[in-house]
Amino acid sequence: MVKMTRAASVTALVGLALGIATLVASPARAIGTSDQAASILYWPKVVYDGTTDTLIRLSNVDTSAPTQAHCYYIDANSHCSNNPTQICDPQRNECGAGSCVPGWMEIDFDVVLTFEQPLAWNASRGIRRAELPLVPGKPPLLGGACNETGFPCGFSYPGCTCNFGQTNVGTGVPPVPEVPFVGALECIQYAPPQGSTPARPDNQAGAKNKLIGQATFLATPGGLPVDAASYNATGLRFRGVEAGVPGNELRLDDVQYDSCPTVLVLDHLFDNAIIGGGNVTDLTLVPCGNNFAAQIPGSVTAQFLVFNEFEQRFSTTRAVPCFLESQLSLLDTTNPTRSIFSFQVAGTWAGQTRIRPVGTADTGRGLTGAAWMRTNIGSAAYNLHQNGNPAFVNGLRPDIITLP
Amino acid sequence: MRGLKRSPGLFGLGVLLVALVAFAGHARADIASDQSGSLIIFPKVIADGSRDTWIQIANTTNSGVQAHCFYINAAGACSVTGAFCDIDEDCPSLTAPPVSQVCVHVCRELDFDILLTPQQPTIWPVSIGRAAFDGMPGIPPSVRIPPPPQPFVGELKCVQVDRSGFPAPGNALKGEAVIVPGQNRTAPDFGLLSEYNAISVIAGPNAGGSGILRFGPGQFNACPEKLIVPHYAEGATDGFTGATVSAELSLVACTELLEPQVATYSNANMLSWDEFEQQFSAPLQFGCSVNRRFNNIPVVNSPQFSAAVGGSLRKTTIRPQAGFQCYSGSERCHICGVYGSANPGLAETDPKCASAGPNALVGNCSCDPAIPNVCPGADPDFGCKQSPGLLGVVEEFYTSPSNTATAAINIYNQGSRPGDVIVMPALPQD
Repeated sequence: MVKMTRAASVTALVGLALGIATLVASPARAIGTSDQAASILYWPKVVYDGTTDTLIRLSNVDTSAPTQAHCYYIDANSHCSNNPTQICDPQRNECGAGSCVPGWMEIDFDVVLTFEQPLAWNASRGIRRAELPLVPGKPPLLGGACNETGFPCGFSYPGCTCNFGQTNVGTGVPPVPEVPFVGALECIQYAPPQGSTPARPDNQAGAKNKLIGQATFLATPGGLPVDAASYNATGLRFRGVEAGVPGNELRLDDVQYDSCPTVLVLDHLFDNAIIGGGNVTDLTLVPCGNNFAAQIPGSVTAQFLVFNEFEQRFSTTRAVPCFLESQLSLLDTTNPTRSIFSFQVAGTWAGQTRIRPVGTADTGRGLTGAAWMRTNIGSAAYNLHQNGNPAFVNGLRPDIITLP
Repeated sequence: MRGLKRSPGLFGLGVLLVALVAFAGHARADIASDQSGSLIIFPKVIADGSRDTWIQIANTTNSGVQAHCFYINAAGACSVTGAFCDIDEDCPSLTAPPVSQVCVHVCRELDFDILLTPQQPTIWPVSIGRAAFDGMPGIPPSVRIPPPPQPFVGELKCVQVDRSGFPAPGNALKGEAVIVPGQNRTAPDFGLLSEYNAISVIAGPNAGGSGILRFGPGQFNACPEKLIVPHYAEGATDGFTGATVSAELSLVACTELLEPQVATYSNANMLSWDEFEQQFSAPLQFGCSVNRRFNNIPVVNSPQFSAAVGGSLRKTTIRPQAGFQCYSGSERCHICGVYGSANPGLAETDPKCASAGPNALVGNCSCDPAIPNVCPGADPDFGCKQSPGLLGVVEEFYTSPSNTATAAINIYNQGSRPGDVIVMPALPQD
């Protein structure tokens, strides 16, 4: 009897473990992605300064249905306290007697994509209505014989095929609001409006996770040497409807959407190590959560743990109030030659930096980002690795995007 | 005593919980370019004089790890002269005696070991490799990283292994590749810098234990059903720089038979949409890997991906060929090298290729696994099996009057397609 009891208790324990296994392994552990389609996309870095522009690409992977994205440009320019129209760099003293005040301002817009459609725009220009590829009645290829003012395509003009299918109507992409501009872009997949129901975040079964995106930094127009660098937008996938969540709240908690990871891993060359004789890496980090309704940006603290090839470890910390962009060797000091990210200090070429976000803001504690290596022979951008997902216990709040 | 009797159950529970913790972070059953894995794949590695590649690999765990790496060179060689080539048009016809040439891509493998201490990153240029105490800063891996024979155009795969050399499910590896100008470049270098993340294949609890890596449930995560590549159409003009854009696609087969050193056969079915909803399609056939401009798919200067026949933007989906093929035996499906050639870069021993000629597809490439002995003489494990899955990366070239700039990007993937295998070379104790 005792043996039976013990056997039963062991069986129960194993059953309990299997139950925990199911609970732990299935819905959890779903961090974001930079190589799969998703419902929320982040482009952590978008720039335009007259000589460098960002080509934003956004595509619908649905094989038959259109989809809509509601997008937010986040203008992270800083401005002088004594002259609010003057854009300044917080790492330089550019405001005289005033101070350089970090900014956060969002503007939002819609993009409607037909099935399987790729679309792209320059941050400097956006997309004007006349530039939309597919509008009702207009020939798919610009310059055709019929136009959207009413020629009966196919009758008067044999061979001309006007578009009577899905269209890009509803799309209006503004140019970035300031020049120079530095900031981020965030797009959320929406279900198009139906009747009196307005467009809303898309949570329809089968219609979710249809967006992919890239950014390409393009430099120096006008016959001078060009440069190009690309990275993929970071995506969070819609997972399921979550009871009790207000309609304007998107919870990045592994239940409604993927969560942002517990650690971002950046492999890099230490600044001024080798390639091109003057390499530096710019890191951009943005919080995953934002309150667009109350215009309150996410605020997170990033803890950096840096390893060189000697297995030596260094660390530093920086606040990410809404957007952080910095050369690595300026993260911890104003003298890059004395930085833990510099070749002079680290002593090796390759480095691995683990970035752990912490914080207690209402918008959450997650971060996403991208890296841009600049050298004397050009530049290259790449995505950060993601590691682990948070357990939302002991008061740790998920990231939350609150929509207007 | 009572405590001892209870301990086996509790121990089992502990093991189960430890296993849970170990694998819970990797429940996403796909391949990924932004997570660490037990197998990392660099689909585009070039060291051909005009370009070089810096490989960066890191251990993301707090334990030391060992990995076994394979360079697989698919650089082309002209079928008679053996000169380095990319496409057939790079191989001029000979006049005495008059004979036409084709560009043959034969796959050759070179492997080495690498050891990484906890959280250690390391880096090396492919053209040079990295030797112990080579004067470079940092601790080099304790085993020499050799430079592969050059010109090299192909891929690098690294598998995390245990002390006995068998694949191990630790998911500790991550990597990046930086493509830089090579030593022999004559054109302007500025802008020729691209970087992409290595593709990670996450291992499940049942992965490893033998020299055969199996892609499927519980083992190594499966390769995708579909790849999605956003890119400019060939010849499109970038609106900001005014540069003319071309894109180069690099694909590798998920199934590799490294032990017998024979290339598999892949057929990528490509379907491309422009921004006007126009659709184009093309096939791309290759052996172990391919590196090809879109305007040379399926043949040189083909219009399928050209901006001249559609919009300037493309989104191309790539599906691996459905169906089965013979991987071994007398009906092995493969693309011929040059039969009887003494040049190791062209060598082909299959007698079928004597009459079929270089680049001909021979063997049974659409076998039915239900038919007994459909692949005569085949290895029981590698007879009539599913055609290989595909992985890849894309690189865009922006050409202005003064220079060419490049940007690489990881390809999106969708779905999973179990069934691929990688057969590692046998270990001494095997």
